[in-house]
Amino acid sequence: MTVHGGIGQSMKRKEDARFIRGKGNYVDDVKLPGMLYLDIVRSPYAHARIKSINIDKALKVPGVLAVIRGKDLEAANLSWMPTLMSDRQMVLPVERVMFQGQEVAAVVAESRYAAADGVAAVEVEYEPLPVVVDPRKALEPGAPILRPDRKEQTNRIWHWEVGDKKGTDEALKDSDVVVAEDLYIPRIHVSSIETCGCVAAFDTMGKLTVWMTTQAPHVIRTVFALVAGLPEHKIRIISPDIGGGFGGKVPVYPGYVIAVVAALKTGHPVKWIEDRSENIQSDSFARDYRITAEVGATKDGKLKALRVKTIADHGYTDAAANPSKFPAGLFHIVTGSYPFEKAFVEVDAAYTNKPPGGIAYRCSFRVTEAAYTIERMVDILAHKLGMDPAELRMKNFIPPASFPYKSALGWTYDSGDYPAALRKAMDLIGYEELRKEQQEKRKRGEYMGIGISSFTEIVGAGPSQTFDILGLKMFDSCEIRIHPTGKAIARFGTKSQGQGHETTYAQILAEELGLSAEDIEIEEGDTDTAPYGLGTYASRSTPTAGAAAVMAARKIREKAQKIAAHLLEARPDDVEWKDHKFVVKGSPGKSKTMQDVAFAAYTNHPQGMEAGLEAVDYYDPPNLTFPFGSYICVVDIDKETGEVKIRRFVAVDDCGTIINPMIVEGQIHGALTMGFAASMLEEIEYDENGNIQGGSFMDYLLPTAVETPRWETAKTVTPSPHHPLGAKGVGESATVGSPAAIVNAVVDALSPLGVTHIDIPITPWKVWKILHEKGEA
Amino acid sequence: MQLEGTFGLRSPRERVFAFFLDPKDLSTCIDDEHTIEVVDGDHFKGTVKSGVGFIKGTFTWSAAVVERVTPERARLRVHGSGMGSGFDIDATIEVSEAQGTATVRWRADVAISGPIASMGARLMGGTIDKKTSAFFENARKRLEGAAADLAEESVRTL
Repeated sequence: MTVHGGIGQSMKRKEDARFIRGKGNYVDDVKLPGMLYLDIVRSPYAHARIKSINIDKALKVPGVLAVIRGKDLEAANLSWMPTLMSDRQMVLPVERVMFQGQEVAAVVAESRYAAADGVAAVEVEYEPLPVVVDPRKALEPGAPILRPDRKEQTNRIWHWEVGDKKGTDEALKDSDVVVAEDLYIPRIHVSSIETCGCVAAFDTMGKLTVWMTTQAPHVIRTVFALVAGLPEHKIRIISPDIGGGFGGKVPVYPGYVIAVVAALKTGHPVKWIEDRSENIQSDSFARDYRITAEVGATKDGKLKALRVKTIADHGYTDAAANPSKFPAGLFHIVTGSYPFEKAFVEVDAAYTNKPPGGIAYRCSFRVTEAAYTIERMVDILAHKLGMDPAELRMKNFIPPASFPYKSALGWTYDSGDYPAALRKAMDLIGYEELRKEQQEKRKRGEYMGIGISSFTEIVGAGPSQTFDILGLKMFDSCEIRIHPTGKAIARFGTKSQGQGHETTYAQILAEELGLSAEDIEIEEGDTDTAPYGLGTYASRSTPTAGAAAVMAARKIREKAQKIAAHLLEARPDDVEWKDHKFVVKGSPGKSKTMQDVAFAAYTNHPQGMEAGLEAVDYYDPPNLTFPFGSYICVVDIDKETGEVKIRRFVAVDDCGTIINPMIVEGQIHGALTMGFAASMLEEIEYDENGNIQGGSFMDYLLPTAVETPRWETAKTVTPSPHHPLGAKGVGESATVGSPAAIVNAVVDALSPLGVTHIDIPITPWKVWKILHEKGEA
Repeated sequence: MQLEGTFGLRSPRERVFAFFLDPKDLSTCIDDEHTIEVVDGDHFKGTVKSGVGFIKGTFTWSAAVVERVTPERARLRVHGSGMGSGFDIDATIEVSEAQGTATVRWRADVAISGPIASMGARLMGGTIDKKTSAFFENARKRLEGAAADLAEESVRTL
């Protein structure tokens, strides 16, 4: 019996029925009686002392009911709050502002317009202070101390290292060839379609409900309880539909807390919704890594050692959302798909006068930075050795027979077949023919490049012995209840932001329970009803909550088997789950469906057995999962304008067992587009005064369908041996893997001019300047 | 952002120097709609309606003469705020004279902050350059006009 919507079927997304008809329910759709609106006064300065805040005029604006300042919060010990990385961030400042766009005061009014007018009427007097925007300068002796509130009077937040330093130094010394490069991965922003916001309301019994744009509602509730001192059962966080998260909706933003305070102060529900520029200018950023990498190899191209030194710009506070034991995230996956004998990584994090940074922009905790580094360096080595980059990779890949494989930096890769993925990509794109074409074009003075990226991801955080956030172990959960008529509801600790959980989870359960996916309702995001979980980010939902769904379903099957045996008048041991139903062994005609069992669970269950059919599972993954892929990009460069045209891009992904091929393909298309955006368009810079350059969509460029290349996707399937379905997760793979393929292609095109590296984003201006300097444009 | 320029004109040095420290004279050089109020001999304040491109609004500002070496050199600091943005100008004017011609050397460090600086980033340099140049060009014209008037008056007196 094939179940409708079982694993491997490209069923259409259940949630799209409401999304494509404009029937989604987002935070800004929440409207409560008597609701007030909150708007925020923001700092024009990147670093300044607050001399005074005059709110008299603001309070006279018609409709304005209250203005909240840092000193108002200070009385309740709420002017600061913890970040998810055990640093502190200001809710509202009392003495100093630390970045342009920082929250300074908040106005509560009867309408959003009145609130905005009130914001304009708040008079703040500042005394500008020295601004530090470059993390390298922040770490220099004599740099102004940006966080005098800390015991450690330095701008160095932390130093973190992993690997064998001495052994790596020696291996590099012993290498025939060493290549080194400085790579800058600039600050970028997730720019979800929906900005952040919330509605906070206290009921008559003092219970707080907050509808908010969060990827991790349960963690947020716990943080709220700890920060505000409210009993956790008196807090309900509801994440309704979310218009994209990509890591940017994991942190706790001051606006959330201020809205709660405003609701408490006024006795009314209070709504806070960021506008687009507020979102880009003040919410957490991604990347901003300055990396120096060195790779040592033998003269015939055998990789030996990798040394990486990085300066991480975290802005004025460390508000990244990394697992607590990994302040630089999982950056030490930087050895990638290669069996380096020795490796050493060190990262120094610095404070600057910028908004908090370091979140994972559709990448599992600094994995894009890692994959970009190693895949760029392998290409640089190939050019140095005069080897084909594909040949160098094939020569060095971790052999398929070596899995599970322990890397030089401590990870145990679950499974992989890297040569197969690259071979497939090469065949699909016609690699050898393209190289011949490139030779011909080079003779004619044309610039065509071919770039490869054979990346390894690391997702599914994570095993409880090493993974936690603020001490909360990174398990995830599923609770299933099958109703008497064979329909079901399943609740999860994760929260979809567009990934398609309502479909993917239903398909997993359909497969495991023999029900139609259409008959299974999926619910997430309400802390009053869903089991505790750590949320959705870092491609962790299918590896953790998806596994919890399987385990909970199997617990149900265990009980259901006894009920089926009762109905079939057989011994439980004589009944087996086969072909999505319970069958008496050796008598295929004697069977009961899950629907039959469900009805009996409430009407005719065996004596002594509890009624009902439900189960919960908190899944603690034994290891992370390691999706991988090989991408090949072909570019042509216009010599006159510097424009890079991506002619073809083949993406071969391996995310283990695929639940819904259509959703996976959609995820890959979206992530490829985001990787393309980071490679070619996106960058947020600051001038020397800390003014953000790129604080609106006029200046911060996102690709539209016009700029986006046509993606060609394919797959290999190497199941994870430890996941109950063999699934690995896929949401971020293409964001992680694609930038290196694009940059490698551009550098390959320009390599006859002696170009070895170009920092992203590769704009036409950058390329044209190179061509112009070389006399080619 | 640093800007500087030099211009010469046939006008007495003392007159040129006094012009740049007289709020009423300075007022005639600002193209944007504005108000100006004298607090005391070294402090002025007012409002100005200005912006970058389509992003325009009213700023309140205050200026202080922080250095005055009559009739050679003066330094002014101007601070303004409005629209959630701010600007700070540190301007130095040096006036020299040779053979009846006064030479004005000016230098201005301009720092803009807030949404004006970030939203209008691509237009900022050109706008500041344009407004600053217009200010000093207006000053030159006013001073030259005053010199011509003075010359005409001298002729009439004779």
